[in-house]
Amino acid sequence: MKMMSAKSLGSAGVLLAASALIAGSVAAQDLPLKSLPGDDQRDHWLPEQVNVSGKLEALQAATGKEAVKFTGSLEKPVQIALIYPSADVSDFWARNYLALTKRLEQLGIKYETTEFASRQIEHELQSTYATQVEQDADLYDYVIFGPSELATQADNIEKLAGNEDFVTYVWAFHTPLKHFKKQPAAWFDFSSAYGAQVICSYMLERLGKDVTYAMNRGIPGVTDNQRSGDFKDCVAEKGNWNVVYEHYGEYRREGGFDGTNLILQAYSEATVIHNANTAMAMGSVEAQVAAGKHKEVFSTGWGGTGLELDAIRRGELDATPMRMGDDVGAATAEAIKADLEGRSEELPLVFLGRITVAHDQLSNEEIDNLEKEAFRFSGVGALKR
Amino acid sequence: MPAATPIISMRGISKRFGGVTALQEVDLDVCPGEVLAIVGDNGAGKSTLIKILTGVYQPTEGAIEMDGQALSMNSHSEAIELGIDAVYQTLALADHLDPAANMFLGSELTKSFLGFRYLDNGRMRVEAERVLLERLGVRLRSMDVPTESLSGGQRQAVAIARAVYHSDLRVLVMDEPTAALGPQETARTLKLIEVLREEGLAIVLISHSLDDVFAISDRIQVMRRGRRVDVVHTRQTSRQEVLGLIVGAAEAA
Amino acid sequence: MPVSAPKGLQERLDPYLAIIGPMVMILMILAFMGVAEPARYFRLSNLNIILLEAALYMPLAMAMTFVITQRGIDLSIGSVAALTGIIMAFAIKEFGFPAWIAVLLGIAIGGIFGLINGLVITKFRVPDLIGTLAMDLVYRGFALVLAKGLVLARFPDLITDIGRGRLPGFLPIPVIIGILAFLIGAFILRRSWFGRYSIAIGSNPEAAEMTGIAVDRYKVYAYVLMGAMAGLAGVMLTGKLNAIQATSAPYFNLHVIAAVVVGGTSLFGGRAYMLGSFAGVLLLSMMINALVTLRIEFFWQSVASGVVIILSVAFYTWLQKKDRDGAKGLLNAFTTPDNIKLMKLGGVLAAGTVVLLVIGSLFSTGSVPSG
Repeated sequence: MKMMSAKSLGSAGVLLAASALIAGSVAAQDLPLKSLPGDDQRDHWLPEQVNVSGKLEALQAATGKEAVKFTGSLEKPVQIALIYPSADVSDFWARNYLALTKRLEQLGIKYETTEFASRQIEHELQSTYATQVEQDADLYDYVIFGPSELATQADNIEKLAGNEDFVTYVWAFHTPLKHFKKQPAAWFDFSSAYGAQVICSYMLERLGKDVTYAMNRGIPGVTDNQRSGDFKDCVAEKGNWNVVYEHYGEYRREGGFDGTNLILQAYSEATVIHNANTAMAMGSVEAQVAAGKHKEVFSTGWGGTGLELDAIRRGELDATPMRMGDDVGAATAEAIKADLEGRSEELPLVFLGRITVAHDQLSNEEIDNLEKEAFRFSGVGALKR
Repeated sequence: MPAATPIISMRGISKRFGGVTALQEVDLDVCPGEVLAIVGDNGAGKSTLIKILTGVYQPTEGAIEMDGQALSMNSHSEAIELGIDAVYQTLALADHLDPAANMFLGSELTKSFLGFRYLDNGRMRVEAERVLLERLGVRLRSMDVPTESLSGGQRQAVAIARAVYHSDLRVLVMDEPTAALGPQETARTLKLIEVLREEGLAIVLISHSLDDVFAISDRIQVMRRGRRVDVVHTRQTSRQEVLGLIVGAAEAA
Repeated sequence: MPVSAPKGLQERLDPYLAIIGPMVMILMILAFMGVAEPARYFRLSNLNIILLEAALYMPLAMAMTFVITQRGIDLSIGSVAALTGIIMAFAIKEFGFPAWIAVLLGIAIGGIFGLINGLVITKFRVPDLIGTLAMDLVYRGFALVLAKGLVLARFPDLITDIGRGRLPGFLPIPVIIGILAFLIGAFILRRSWFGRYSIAIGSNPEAAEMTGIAVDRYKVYAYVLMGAMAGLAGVMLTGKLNAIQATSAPYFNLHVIAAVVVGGTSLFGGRAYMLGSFAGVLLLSMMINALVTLRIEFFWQSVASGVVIILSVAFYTWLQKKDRDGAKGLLNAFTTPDNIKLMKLGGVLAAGTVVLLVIGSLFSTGSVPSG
């Protein structure tokens, strides 16, 4: 992640690092729990330096296991506001929602939700939503915020986190910003950086060194820098891979389609196409099939969503870093339960879902099992809500 | 009869556009306090002639004199400075502006506050009302509505008022001022022209309507195929004769 | 010819025409929200949110009123706002400029972009629609070239004050800026050559030219004003979110044009209503706020905006029609030969669709998951 503010924050970071040695419970002013090399280059803490050891693993375990019923009793349903950019093509947000709500049901927690949707690109609208939800603090017990972009919504996260009337959870980011005076109660995410490392290692092992490839990147931003930029850096450094073209498909299916057409036409030397999300991967695969090139080109997706796994089964997509997708939503439900039971101290500040590579050399049964695990709440196959 | 000395004399005016000759050695005289009508078929050269008179075009050959002094005008605005202005068939009005704004369009009155100049809408409104009433005897339905909501005759009055507001206006060219008007509005516009003639303006009127021409003009200049065919005194001629001149059935006597 | 006809409907309405449309719709929203969700909609903090949301668009709508009055359009303002925001951010973050200089720099550079737009349109004779659309791509491209995926965040207090600050016990600062912009705009429209000639140019370009108005120059002025206000909006946007990036402000163009048009300013030129634009901005902001307050699904915002635009433009067209038909006229309208043909066409399309639906359901093989 690159942010202009990093520079100005360097000195503050060092001061905070010094004071962390006497840290007890995780309050914003006590972060980080341990300092790491390169801290002054970053404007955020890495998960491993803000999580008390064992807490992440404990929550992951609770998330993966059979539900243990909520022990308390509720007068009325828990009120949950969800502010997230769910108006785009990906089913990521919808699956999180289903995992959250189904796990809540399993846990025996009654709930009501209010969704505030926008497009990923509509930072302004999301800011308005955050303000409106904060204004309605009396209505909500939990606010789940999936920022359109972390730095852009940073002030809104801090504002929500600062409100005592509800508990704020952040979805889809795992980088607590250093400058926050008050951190949200928890961050739930898959680490795209980790995903990039996972798919990078797999690709190097599978395809070897000196591969020429092209990319369908998303919208310039932090997410794309991790999914595409980290992957690019990794394969360049460890395998001397050469990227010939980077298309920005704005995370849209048409973007992936157009980008792939361009690549097939103008950069036929590229044997691998990296796609930064599901929509573009689907568009890319469609263009390859239309050109009859899907057997020759090794293409990757992102996330291991149902659509991608179907494409892998059809032999069109070749590999994808697969998130155990329902972990984020289910872990959030577990966190709500812990909070209701007065055990919020047991939660990690940053929860990360599991990631593994799904690829065309797995048997159908193996893919099925991965998929069942990943989508144990939101359901295997194309999403139905 | 008007004073015998012409204020404007055009002599031997020719105008060629590429290979096309629009005007050939045309003369024109108009005196103060006189209405000179120019008639002729489409393409007879009427428009070209008045565009030269109002400085829009420059003649290929020929000379224009004003009060006996040679003139050369390079633009319409130079003509306006000299006291020659025109009211066009397609009225040059901005329909969404109110009458006063239209009257002063391009030469707005201003006031200043701390050295900062801005438009003086109040004074323009008063002045416009005054000019319309005193010079043209017209009171508009309202001074505060967009000009588009006025009747054709009142719009015509606004356009004329714009020309006559310049106190040094001496020659007014009117291109088909009644073409789009009903009978009543036409009568009112002709009355305006009479008022202006009484004030001593020289008026050049282009019209297709022989009724109007015979109602208002002092002399009639007939054009055909880029030439001046004849000039006749309105009182000493008849429609029959003028029609004949226009279509070329009768040659100059 | 002293004629004093009784004042017609048109004449009596005209000065207020600007706000009738948006006012009626604002009243409808107020009435509806008064029944549906009064406690939450009508509170000071929510009024604050509505105004803050609207403020960003106020300077833009003011300038766009001039552009549209001249029969122009500017489709590049979102990109100009993003690019000037980024330039301002770089000036502060990278080069350590004082914030107030960077703010003025943003506005000035916005003005330069407006100047470029104006020159493209008047000198290269590229039609405004295409010219500003193309420049939109250029500015957005430069923003991406400069900032890539960077989010430039966390600015000095001056910037956030401009974007979301508040004078204690009074209005938010951006709202004051917005209202000030409209006041100045109203003065310019009524009291300056630029305002007067903007109406004249939009009303009758040939007449304006013939009167000796430097039409092209005043067109360029309008785009410069537009650009400068887009620059200001870029500063306000940056301050509001305390962050700016190349993809910011994606839907500025349509939002601002919609607000101006909803306010009664005519796309056909000559008809300028500064007060109407102000009301239009407020209306759109109130409407979106109401939909969110009612917890209506996001996608309805788009539907509602479109309907509001159509309704208001149709309303103005109806108001400006010289001879309005009564109810009988409406009936008659259905029986004109042309309209009968259109109704037949509609009938054929509807029937065809129904047939296709029936055939489709007959041959249906059940639902197939997408992908």
